[in-house]
Amino acid sequence: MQKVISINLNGIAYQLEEGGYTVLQDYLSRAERELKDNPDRVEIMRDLEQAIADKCQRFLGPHKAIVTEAEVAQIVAEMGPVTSGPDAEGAGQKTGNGTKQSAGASATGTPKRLYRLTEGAMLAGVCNGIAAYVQVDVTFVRIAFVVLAVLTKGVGILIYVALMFVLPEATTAEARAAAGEPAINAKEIVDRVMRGYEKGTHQWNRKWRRKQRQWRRAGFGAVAPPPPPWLAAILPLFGLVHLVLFLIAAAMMISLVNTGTILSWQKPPDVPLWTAALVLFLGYQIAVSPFRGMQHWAWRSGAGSAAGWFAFWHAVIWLIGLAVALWVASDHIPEITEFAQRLPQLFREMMYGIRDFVRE
Amino acid sequence: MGVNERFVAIRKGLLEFLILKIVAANKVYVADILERLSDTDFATQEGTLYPLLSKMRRDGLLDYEWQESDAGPPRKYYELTAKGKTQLSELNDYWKHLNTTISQLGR
Repeated sequence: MQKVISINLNGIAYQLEEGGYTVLQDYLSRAERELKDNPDRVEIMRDLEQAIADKCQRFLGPHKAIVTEAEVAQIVAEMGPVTSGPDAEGAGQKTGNGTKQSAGASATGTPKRLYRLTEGAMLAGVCNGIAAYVQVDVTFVRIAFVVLAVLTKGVGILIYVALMFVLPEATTAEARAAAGEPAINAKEIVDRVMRGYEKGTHQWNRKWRRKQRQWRRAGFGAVAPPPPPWLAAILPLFGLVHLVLFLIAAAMMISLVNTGTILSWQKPPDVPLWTAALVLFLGYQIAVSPFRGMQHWAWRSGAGSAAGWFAFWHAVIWLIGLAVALWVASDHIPEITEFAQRLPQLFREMMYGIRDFVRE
Repeated sequence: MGVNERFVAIRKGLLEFLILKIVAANKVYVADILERLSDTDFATQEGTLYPLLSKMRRDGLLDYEWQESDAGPPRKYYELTAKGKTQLSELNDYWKHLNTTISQLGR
């Protein structure tokens, strides 16, 4: 079932499936961007809208009031990419065999969808699909997932499993095209880093082993002392503070990503957004670490072998709560929707930033 | 690279010439132009044609007038201006000249 969105094309209302609306919006905003220096931009846009309206008419009849997503995609493909002039590179003229048309269609209007891509996947293709969606190499996404899983003590794995069930598998060629293709090649970066560190690692390993022996002898890592009984009493309070901190951090993050400001503090223009976001994220991690530490302390020594399960269910409940909150919020709070739309771009900028940093 | 791809740039450059020819023969609207081109090697899409027509109009080669249609809203019907007609006959002559050159070379 798809939501239906009414649009106005030169004064006549048309009803499109939500997916089709996205396709059309994407096409028109691309056209607008392409024509931004064209003196007749307004008129051409109106002509294009009229042409699209005429084509929509073709799919409508007495028993059919809605233009489906597939039909919109077909219309957009028929329209072809908008080029600012005949001299522009790759002006969308079809070659005789029609290959240009399909190439143009994928460049203009195919909506992006998150899929699992099992081709070349390690597990279920979740990372592969995300990589294709945000247009970065899959290696980055895999590393990010592993880091996430470690940082969140396993919640990342749960997210992976959840996505494994939630995301559809891209089985058709169209779906694979809609999932996108990876753009940045991480292999060379990883190779370079590997080469650089290869020399160092050998030495480091030896030092690390020696250090471990010392610690073991000194009794580091022995069982932590049991927590005092008052800790159990204020534990719920700690959980509450943890939650409040999380909500504050989330609000700050959304405000930062959407507007570049936190409360009344304006991000300096020479600091990239992703750096600010990363600093905020790390700051949050540091701020909650005492609370987290207390909780883990209490669980580990208090509940014995049940502690593991307790932590697991805690994580599951958090995850479900978060997912429901996001789901509800994304429908009712426009800021959240905007945030979600900006996130891939932010992620991509971060990848580019890291890449530039590594290359230096 | 096939013959077809080799001539992409040439076809692109000739498109304006062909549109002048089509518009000269009849008062047409965009769907007519696309229809006329669709079966040829010069098949074109709206995304290309609208910007091109607006550029040709800016160059003073053609102009349009609104006409009511039986189905749907009024349409823009294009016709050549005096400048467009001159340009077309010049291009026609030049095309003939090119053809002669091509056929005479290598004899």
